[in-house]
Amino acid sequence: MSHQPRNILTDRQIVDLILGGDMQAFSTIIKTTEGLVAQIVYKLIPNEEDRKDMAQDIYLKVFHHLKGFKFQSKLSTWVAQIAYNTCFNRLQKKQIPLYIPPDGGWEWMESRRRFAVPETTEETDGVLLKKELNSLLQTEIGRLPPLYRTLIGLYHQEDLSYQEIGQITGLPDGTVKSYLFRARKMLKESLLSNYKKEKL
Amino acid sequence: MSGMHLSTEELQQYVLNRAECPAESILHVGTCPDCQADVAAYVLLMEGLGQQPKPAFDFDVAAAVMERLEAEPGMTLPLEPGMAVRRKADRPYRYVMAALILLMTGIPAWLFRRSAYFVFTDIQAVFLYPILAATGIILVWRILQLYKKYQNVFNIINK
Repeated sequence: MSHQPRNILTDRQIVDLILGGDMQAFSTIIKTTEGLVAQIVYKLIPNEEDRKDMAQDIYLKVFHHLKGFKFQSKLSTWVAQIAYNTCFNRLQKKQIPLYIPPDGGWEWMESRRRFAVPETTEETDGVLLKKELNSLLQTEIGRLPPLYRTLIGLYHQEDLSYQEIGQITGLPDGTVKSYLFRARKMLKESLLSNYKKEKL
Repeated sequence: MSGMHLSTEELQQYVLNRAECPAESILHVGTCPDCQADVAAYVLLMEGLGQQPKPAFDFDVAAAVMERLEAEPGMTLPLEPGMAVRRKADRPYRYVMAALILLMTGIPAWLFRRSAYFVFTDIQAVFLYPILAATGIILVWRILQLYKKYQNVFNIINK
């Protein structure tokens, strides 16, 4: 087992390595799950500094509770579940406002949008239109209620199933599905109303 | 169906997984310009959602966590080295414990099975109704509590 590359170890093998004292194996867990954790933290926690603390708190919890992991779900799903619950508890305790004003916060979105500005004029209208649409969509996602934002991120960006999202959020699969339907409907309507405004 | 427009859910389902849509829905979309426009809008939306940039932490999470773990006073591993092996060795002991619990509950249940039956048949109404009423009240109270907790969770997350 020790000759196996760490990124292809099974969940059970990697947990056994950590419980056996291999701290490097815990780094592997962090590296393989931090994208998913970031997806949850960025969608639920508005403040940059809080996000930093949150990420560390989440992995400390994962470390301390690892012996309780029952292998009933994927390790990444379990880590994401801890991330979701930790963010939720922080919001509950600190009463951090969850609704982000449309013109404030979400610095990462703004910075990414700046990088996304096309530099050449050779691009076709279609490509430009798509970039504009994506940029507009990014803003509209930021305006969704935090839970909807999180569900959209987990389903469309992390390619998780309804069942996996249900395990992470503690919501029934049917509720996840219906919230996703509602979120997409809200996005479609706001995009269409933006498009109509631009046309006028 | 063929005369009626598709609902939001049906339209999204059509875009997400056309193969699982009823034949009537597919037929309707094929002939209805309104639903075709909606489908086109949802196709664009789904594509856009898949192309959104993924958020990423702008610091080395693994290094920061390792540093904090090392700095923790009396930091110990979740289990001491070697415990993982011992945990596997504990399995037979757990099976023995489960068997003992089964025996300790099963034997009395078997011995007193006839008396247990009379507990339910011979009980006087004066005792039975208060027990049923108390059970009902506790059940309703627990359901209300769960409902309140569920509402609270959603209020917080969607504030």
